[in-house]
Amino acid sequence: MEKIDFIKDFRDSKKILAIAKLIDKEVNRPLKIMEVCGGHTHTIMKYGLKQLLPKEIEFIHGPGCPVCVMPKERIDQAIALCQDDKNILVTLGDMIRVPGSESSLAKERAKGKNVKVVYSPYDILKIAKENPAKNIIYFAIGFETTTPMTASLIEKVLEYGLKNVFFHINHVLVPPPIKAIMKSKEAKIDAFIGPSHVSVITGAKIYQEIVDLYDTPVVVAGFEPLDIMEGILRIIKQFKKDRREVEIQYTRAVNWEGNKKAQDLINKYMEKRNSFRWRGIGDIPYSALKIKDEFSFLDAEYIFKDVLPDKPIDDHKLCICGDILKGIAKPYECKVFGKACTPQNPLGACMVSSEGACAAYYKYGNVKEGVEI
Amino acid sequence: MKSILLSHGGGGEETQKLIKELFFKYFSNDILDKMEDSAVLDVNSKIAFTTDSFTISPIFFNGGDIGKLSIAGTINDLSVMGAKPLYLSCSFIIEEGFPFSDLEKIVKSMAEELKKTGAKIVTGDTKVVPKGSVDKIFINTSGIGKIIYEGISSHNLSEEDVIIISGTVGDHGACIMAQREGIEIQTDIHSDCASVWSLVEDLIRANIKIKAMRDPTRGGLSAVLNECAENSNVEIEILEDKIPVKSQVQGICELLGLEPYTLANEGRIVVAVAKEDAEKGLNVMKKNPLGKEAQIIGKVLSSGRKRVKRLAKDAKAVIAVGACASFGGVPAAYPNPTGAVGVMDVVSGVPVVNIPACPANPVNIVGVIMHYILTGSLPELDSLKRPKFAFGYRIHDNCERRAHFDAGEFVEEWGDQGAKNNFCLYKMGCKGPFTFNNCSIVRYNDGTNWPIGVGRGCIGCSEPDFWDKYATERPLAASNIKPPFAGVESSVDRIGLTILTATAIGIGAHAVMSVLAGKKENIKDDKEE
Repeated sequence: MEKIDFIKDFRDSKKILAIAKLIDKEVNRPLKIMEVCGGHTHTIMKYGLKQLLPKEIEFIHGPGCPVCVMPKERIDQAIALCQDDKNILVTLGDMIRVPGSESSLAKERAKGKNVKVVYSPYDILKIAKENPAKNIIYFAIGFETTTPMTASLIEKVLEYGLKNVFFHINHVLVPPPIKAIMKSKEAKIDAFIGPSHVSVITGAKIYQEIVDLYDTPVVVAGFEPLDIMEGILRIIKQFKKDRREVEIQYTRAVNWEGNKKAQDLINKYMEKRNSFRWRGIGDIPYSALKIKDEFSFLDAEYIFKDVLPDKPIDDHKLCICGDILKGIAKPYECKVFGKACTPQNPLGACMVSSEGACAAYYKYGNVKEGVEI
Repeated sequence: MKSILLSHGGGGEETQKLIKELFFKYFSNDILDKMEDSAVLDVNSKIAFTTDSFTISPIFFNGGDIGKLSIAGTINDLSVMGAKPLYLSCSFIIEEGFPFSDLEKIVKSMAEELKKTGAKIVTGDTKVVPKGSVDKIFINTSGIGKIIYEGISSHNLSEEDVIIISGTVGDHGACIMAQREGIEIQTDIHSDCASVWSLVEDLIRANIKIKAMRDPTRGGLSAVLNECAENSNVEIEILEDKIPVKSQVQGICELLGLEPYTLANEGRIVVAVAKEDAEKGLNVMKKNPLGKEAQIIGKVLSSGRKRVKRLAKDAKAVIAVGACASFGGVPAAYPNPTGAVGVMDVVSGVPVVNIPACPANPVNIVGVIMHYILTGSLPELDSLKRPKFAFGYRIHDNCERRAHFDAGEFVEEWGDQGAKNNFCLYKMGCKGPFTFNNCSIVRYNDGTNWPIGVGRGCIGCSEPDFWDKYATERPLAASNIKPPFAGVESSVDRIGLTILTATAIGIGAHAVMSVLAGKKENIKDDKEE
C-alpha cells in the first residue's frame, strides 16, 4: 500500500477540489451545518472552504473553543489565585490572554505575579518539585480532549505524594452545549460536523443522543480540509437518502467506543458538576467536570474557596461573543470586530484563541461575506 | 569550574585578562589589536550600517548558538542590502556566574562564523551584571558593509517580479521551540543559522537584477512578504505548495499550533528578481550550498488594477473621481513609468462615470451621486464618460475674461499691464478653449475662486493626457496667422482640430487689430504732444 502523508495528502488541493465538485453535484437543498469545534472553524477559514462550497451550504460556527466559552468569573478566580505570592498559577497557552472583568493572566504576569504557561501538564510535576514551598495551582481548561491529561496528572501527583499541587478544573463537555443550542431554537441547524480530537477520547457514541433527539446527522470529521469536505459530502448524502446517523469520517483516529483507558482515568477522579456557566450561553446543567469529593484535598475551588469570587459577570456591552458562540451571529456582524477588538487586544473571548471564530475571520480575511478586501 | 565574575566587567586587571586571553585570542586583527578607544576605519564608499541585539533561550541549540547567531544576524542584515560585510562591533552583557567554558564556546563559534565572510570585529565591550539581571548572556553586534549592489529596497517590487526563497522555512524557529524549556521535543531539526553573504555575492556576480531582498528572521516569511507588499503597494501571489518546509518542522507546527511561514529563519533570504532573471537566479542560488533547496514560490501581481476589478465586479456603477482615476493623470504622463491608466481602462461590464479635473469638483461628485439617488439612473455622459451637465461645455465658453479674448486684450507676459487688467490668458498658455469643465461657473472651494480668477491660465486638467498636451505656458498655436474673413465668435466654438487652428487664427486677427489700435492711440498721443 502506498504510504499516506498525514499532512500533505489531506491538504491536497486536487483532492479537495474534486470533492467540492461532487458536493456541487449532489447538493439539492440548503443546509446549515454547525462545526462544533473551533479547530474546524480555523480550517474552514484558513483554507477558504466557505468560498469553495455552493451557496446552499452555510457554516454555523459552534461553541467548541475551550478558551472562548470560559466565563469571566472563572478567569477572575484564576487572577485571584495568583495574587498570593505563595501560589504559582499554571495554565495552557491562549488562556493567559483572555480578559477577565478587569485584568488578564498575561497582565498579572507582567505585574510580576506567578503565572506560568505549559504545553504539557506533566511539566507541573517538575515545577512542584522545584518549588516545594509554593502552592502550584493548575488552571485546567479544555473539552474532553485535554481532560485525560489532567486526570493523568492527578494520578501522578498522588503517586509521587506531592502535597503542593492543586487543581482548578474547568473541563467542559461537548454534548450539553449542543443540546442547549438546539433547545433554544435560535439557530436552525440541520446537521453537525463532530469534533475530531474530542471524539478520539469519547468515541463517536456520545453523539447518538443528538441524532435521536433532534433528527440531525452528526459526522465526526478530521481537522484537515479534505476531512471537512468529505464530512459535508457525507451529510449531503445522508439527507438525500433520508438517513440520520452518527457517521465517522475520521476513521484514522476515531472509533465508536473511544479511548477506554482515558475515560476510566477521568471517571476515577472527576465527576459532572451540577451546573457550569458558559460564556454567551449561560448555565447548562451537567455540562462540566469537577474533582470528586473524595479528592477535594486537591481541589483548588475547595481549598481556596475563601478568595474565589463567584459573581456572574456580563460580557462587554458591545461584544456579541455569546451570539457568535450560539451560531446566531457572524463575527463581522459585531460592531467592534476588527476595530476595538483584535487578536492583539481582544475584547471578547472569540478573538483570543486561534480556534475562536472571530480570530479565524480576522486572520484569514473574508471580513464581509462575499467581499474580499 | 571557572566562571565569569562581576570583576571581569569592572574595567580593571581581570577585565584586561579576559579581553586578552579570550577575545583577542579569537577575534585578533590589526584594528582591534591596537586597543584604542574606538576603531579607526578606512571606508571609501557608500556603506550600510546595522545593529541587532541577541537574546535567545536556549543559548546552545542544534545547528548553532547565540554567538554564531549574533554574527550571522548582523552579516545577513548587511548582505541583503547588497553590502559586503566589513567591520563589526560586539558587546556582551553577561550574568555573573556564567561558565567561562560556555563563553569561550560562544566566542569561538563567533570567530568561526566571521571567517566565512572575512568580516572583522574591530571594537567591543563587556559588562558583567549581578545574578538574575539578565538571562545568562546577551550579545549586541553592529556592522558596517560596503555597498556593492545599489538599489535593493522593499519598496521596489513591481508587476511580474518573481519571488525566490533560498531554502526550507521555519527551521530555526522550530528548532528553538522544540528545545525550549517546557517543550523539549526530541527532534533532529537543525537551525538554518548561517551567514548568507556568499549567496548574495553569487547573485550579484551573476548580474541578477535584484529588486528586493530580505532575511526572514522574526515574523518569518509571511512578515517579510507582507512588508514588501505593503511598502511597494502591490499584491504578491504565493503558491503554498511551492514553499519548501521540512516535514519535521511541519510536524512541530502541527503540535504547537504554529505556521512554518511565521517562524524565524536565520540563514535564508527571500529575493524578488525581475521576471527575466528568475530561472537564472534560481540556478545561481541552487549551486551555492546555502541555496540548494531554493524555490520560486510566487510572483508579484498587478497592484491597484486587480483590486479595482474585484471591487467593481458587483458595483452598479463606478464613479472615477479626479484626473488620475479618470484618465491616469500625472502618473500616466510620458514616459508613464508605472503604466498608469484610468479606471475605465480596467473595469469592464460595469458603467463608469468619470469626474475628471484635479482636484475633482465636489459639486460634480455630489451631482452625480444625487442624480443616481433621485432618478435611479446615471446622468447623460459624453464620449469620455463625463457627465454632460458638468463637462458639456468649455471653460472658455463661460470664462469671466472671455470679453477680453473677444476684444483681443491679452496678457503678453507675467506681471504686465494686461495681467493687472485681468486680460485674457490665452497667450500665456491658457487651455480654456480646449477644456471641457464647469469650473468657470461653479469655481472651487464653495465658489471662492478658480485658476483664471487668480490670473493663472487653465492647464486642461479635466482632459485626457493633460500633463503632456496642455500643461505648458505656451499657447497651442503661434499667433502670427493671418486673420480669417469669417467672424471670430463662430470659429472658436467649433470642436476638435477646427478649434485649435480657428482659435489661433482668431488670436491672429485680434493681435493684428490690437496692434492697429495701439498705433492709433500712439498717433493720438503724438498729436496731443
